[in-house]
Amino acid sequence: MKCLFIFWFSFCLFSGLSAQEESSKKALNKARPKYFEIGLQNGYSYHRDLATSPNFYRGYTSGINLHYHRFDALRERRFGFTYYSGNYRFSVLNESARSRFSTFQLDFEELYQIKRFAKRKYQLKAGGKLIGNFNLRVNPALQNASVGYEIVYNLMGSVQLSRDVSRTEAKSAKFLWLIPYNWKPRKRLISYQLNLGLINANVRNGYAYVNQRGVTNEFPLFADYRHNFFSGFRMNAVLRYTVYLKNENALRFSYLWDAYTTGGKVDQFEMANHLIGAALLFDLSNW
Amino acid sequence: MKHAWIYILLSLFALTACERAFFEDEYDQEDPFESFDYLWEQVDRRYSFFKVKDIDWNAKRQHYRSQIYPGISQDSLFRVMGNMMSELRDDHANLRSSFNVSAFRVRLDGPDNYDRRIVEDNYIGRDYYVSGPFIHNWISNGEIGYVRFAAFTGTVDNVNLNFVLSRYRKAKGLILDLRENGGGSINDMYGILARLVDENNLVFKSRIRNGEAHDDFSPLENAIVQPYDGPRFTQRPVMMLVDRGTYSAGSFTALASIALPNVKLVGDTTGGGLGLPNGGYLPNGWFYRFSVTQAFSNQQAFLLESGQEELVNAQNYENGVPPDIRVLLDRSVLEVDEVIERAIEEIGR
Repeated sequence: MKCLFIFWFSFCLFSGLSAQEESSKKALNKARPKYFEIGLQNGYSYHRDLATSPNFYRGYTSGINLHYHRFDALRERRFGFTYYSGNYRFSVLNESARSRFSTFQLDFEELYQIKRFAKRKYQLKAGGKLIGNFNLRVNPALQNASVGYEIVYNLMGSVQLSRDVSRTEAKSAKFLWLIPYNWKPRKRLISYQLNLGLINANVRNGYAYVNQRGVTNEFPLFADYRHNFFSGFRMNAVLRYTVYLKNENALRFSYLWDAYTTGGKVDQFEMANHLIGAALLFDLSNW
Repeated sequence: MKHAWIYILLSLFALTACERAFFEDEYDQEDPFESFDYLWEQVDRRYSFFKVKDIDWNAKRQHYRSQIYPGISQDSLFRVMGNMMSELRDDHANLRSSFNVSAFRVRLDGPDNYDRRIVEDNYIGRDYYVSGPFIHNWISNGEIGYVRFAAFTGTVDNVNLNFVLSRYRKAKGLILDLRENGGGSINDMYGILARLVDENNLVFKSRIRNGEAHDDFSPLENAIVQPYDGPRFTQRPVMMLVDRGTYSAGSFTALASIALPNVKLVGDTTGGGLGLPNGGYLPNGWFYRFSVTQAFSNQQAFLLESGQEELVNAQNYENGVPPDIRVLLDRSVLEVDEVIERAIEEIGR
């Protein structure tokens, strides 16, 4: 994993430098569109914390994300906050358990065009993403471990392939040979971004999972927690379809897949999310 | 290849199916051996009293695993695994399913040392007060306050305690009855003991299992009671009544009282339960829990830090905190609670 990180860092540095040569002009930077993105997400998710259950809790989750997104063909920067939460359960034979799980996530990503692969309609960008989750789980049946929380953070290498699928000419036709419609020219973009964990780390419960501060009448938030560096793995991908409106704002539909594990010899935490999202992108260029 | 980009995207999209590749394997939920082994391993890795209780956990595995067979009924499997948990002789070691809960029931190791009806008929009468979780009244001709605290429900608050302690502020002594108190929230203990001290008081020390060897523990940590800034009862004697049914938070309270000069334990040895229980689920969905910490009196902690672990293990209060004054109920006399009588006598000295 460390070798992978070094390779990726060198690759990005090289790509980034060549991209920066291209985009060093201030005018280009200034002209780069910037958006405030507010979105809703819904989807299927499952997780398990092997410290408390070998069974996966499954459920539906929903959330909201707020991001600043500035991008064009040369360069892309996106950062913001996502919160999602859901009710989960597992059911085995005649037994079942429930859990409420919430995630507070911060992320930052920066991507640069790889000039060698740039074509009129296709763009390939590479860069990195820093993502950090604070997970909060509540399951009263677990008694002294009824509230669980951890921090998972990852530095990821990112590759994004995008294609301009804009309609450049007006189109008129009839739907099912009956209903006439007119499609005006519209700017549209479809992109797929894959992020691969290079440095994976987490702050997780200690050996016994619970701590003894309840017994000793102290309540520090991360008592007996351990910082595990280069532990676990994360991979996520997002497919985005962005449609621009007349007023320069945009609508974005996305499918996000995110899966991670905290690693470690025992007591891993594992989670996978499959989220469908819709977002409004407000053009901030004139602000 | 007009739409090559669609194929590329679909191919990349297929990556999303690979998440299971970096997750651990799933357990077979219906295999009784998997659930048995999982439970055994969890206990082996984290239980805190193997050395104290001199338990050969490998031998227990051999003994109980041989009783399992493919197709064993859920009830029979539960009995086998529940019996294995009871080998820990610890009421914090339980197995819970939708049809049964296993428990060692340590209180049955001693005689029944409390009868609520004897107390009501002969001591606190019909007009006793109920202040939150406390039942209380004057006894012994209005000279002594009797406070019954039946469970650590987590509902002890300053309003209730202020009332109780203000009411008995002029009493010659206080009797705090913790008999058959099976425990609960240890926060209640700190709320109560804060009324029995005038300054910060180190009442016991605790350590937590932190490694795979049965004697891997964290350094000792201090449990300190801080005085409440308000009504307290510190200058006159407090008799704390205990028995084998005084368990977990009840035993922690008894353990802490050893460090309090104005408090005496009267009755029978407590049930123990001086480990914080932690648990989780088995592959077959049953819930388990067991102790992961150990607690020591200040004197035991001193011996432990001096390297005399075997001596401390031999006298560990996990097996029960002994009373200062041992008294048992005489079940043939239903008008007298000998434990309360002895406590009254002690206060009168």
